[in-house]
Amino acid sequence: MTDDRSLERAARSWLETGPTEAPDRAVEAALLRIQTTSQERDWHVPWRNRPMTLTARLVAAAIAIAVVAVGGALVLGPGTGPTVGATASPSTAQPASPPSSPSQAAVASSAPIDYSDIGGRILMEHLGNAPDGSEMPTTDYHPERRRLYWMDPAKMTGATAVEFLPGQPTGKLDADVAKDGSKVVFMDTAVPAQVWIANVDGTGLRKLSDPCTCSELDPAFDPTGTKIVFVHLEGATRNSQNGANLGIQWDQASTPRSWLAIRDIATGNVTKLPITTKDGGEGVPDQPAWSPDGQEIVFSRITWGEANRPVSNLQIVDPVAGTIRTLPTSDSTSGLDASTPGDPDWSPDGSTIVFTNYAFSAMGSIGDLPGSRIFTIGRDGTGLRRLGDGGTASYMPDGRLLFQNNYFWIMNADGTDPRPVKFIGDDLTELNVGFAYVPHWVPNP
Amino acid sequence: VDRDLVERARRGDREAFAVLVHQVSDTLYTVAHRILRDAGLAEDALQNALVLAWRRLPHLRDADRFEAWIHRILVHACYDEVQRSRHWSANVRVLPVEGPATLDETSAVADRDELERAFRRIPIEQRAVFVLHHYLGLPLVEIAELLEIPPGTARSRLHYATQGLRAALIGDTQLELQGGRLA
Repeated sequence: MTDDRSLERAARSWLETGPTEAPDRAVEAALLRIQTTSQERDWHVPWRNRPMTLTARLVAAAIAIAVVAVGGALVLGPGTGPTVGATASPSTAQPASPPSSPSQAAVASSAPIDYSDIGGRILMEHLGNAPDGSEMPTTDYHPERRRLYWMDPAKMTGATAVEFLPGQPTGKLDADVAKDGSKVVFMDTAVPAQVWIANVDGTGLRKLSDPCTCSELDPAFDPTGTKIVFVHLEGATRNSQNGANLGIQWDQASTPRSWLAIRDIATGNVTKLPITTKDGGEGVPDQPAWSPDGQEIVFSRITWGEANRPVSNLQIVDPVAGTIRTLPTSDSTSGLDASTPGDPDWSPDGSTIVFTNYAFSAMGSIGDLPGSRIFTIGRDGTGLRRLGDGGTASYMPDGRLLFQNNYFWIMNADGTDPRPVKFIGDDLTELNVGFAYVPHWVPNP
Repeated sequence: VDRDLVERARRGDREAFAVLVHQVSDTLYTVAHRILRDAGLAEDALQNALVLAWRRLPHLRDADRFEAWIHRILVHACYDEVQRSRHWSANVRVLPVEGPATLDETSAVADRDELERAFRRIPIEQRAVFVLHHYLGLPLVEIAELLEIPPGTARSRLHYATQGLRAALIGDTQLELQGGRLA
């Protein structure tokens, strides 16, 4: 397919595939905006059409420069100039004006963040080639190239990232950090996958999973750091372990089953949450996260739509009451639609859940994925909002959001004032570096 | 497109503009989707292009040029989308969830996937010319006029897009040969 004619033929045929109609919601949203948008006035200024000679242009330019220079000298007297190097810290900066469209939020500000008062670092989940460039670039996946790295926000580049627990076990993903910043829990990429825990200084590594033919996936700490919730999957394996897709694979002879379970870290006792159980390949729970008050657990549940496209919903389970409810992640009135919600996380006060329109933490940049969007919704299921572009968003202890959009960003809880974690940092999505990046904020001990 | 509708919309008639929007939005969206390869970004580009077109419509001198004019606005809206939200480039095949595909299906999927990956790697300006030429079937002279660029620039963008596609496809093949499939 590499001579020009066959390439063009193939490309034409390929271009023919895809949607042929504009989504109604996009057209209606545009018409709605037009109702409140004024047209520009079409000024007709006759003298502008009159050609000016070169001499006249030079004279006009000289006059304009002189006027500006004199005016500037009068206005900017001694002591009134700006202070060089002054930067507003995020905590004191005025909130930015709301972006004119939701997806503009992530580019509202380019000033780097002042880290002096943040007090923490980033644990980065990474899928791809070594961020320091030491591995042969490949645009394909390898399970052992899922790793965890520490990144110091003040000097955040791939070259300065330090791998956490290199080589043991080889592939690591879906990490969670205890609220006090002392411990990390994660799953490996073995088949079946198992859950591990370690101290943030790299000591105390041990496997939490018991010997089992099942997979234990997506561990997350409770607020006390004494228990974890995880996904139990038996009779099947999940493809996202090695970055393939959100599906699961099983031999047709067995029936996959999945549920959420809680493990006491000290005793190893496991409590199954029966109400979360699903049989078959549909409805496997994904990415649970424990509410700050310890009362509820939010998770996404992946099912499959037309042409085996993943769809999902966001659910909240009360482990004590044994109840479950589904949050509405689309709203026909506002046109908001996160049809495949994933990667949920709770705000520190427990009132709000942030999520993305796809489980980008598992997939990163694989296949024909939707544009990455960050949403929030109230714990009670009201107030669905789209904050802006990005994926793998999680809350920091101060209520701001840390997320990925080519590189790492921090923004206010309402989506305003997004700022890059490092202004001239690595573009994490460069193909020769990696595919999936998930940042976790880890407070200093 | 009805010239009378354009004239009425130019004078501020929102209902006339809404009719125009319904006439052109499918084409605009499909072009944006082919350029951006992302449904969300294409929706944003379409929305922004329609709103901008409404605002600037009084400046349109020739109502007969409405379609070319709004396509130019759309292409620039696509540039803006890429500029402010460079989406994570997709470059790995999606495995079938339910069993293996047949050989022909696998081959077709692989070709489409290769093109998808390769296309995402070429610059947005080149993608736009490629789509306008190979999808809408516009001649290069018309594309140059539409985008307000010299014909030579349109020609070179199409050339480099084709070369870029070919280079990316060859590069992928070589990578596969060197590194093997790792998944």
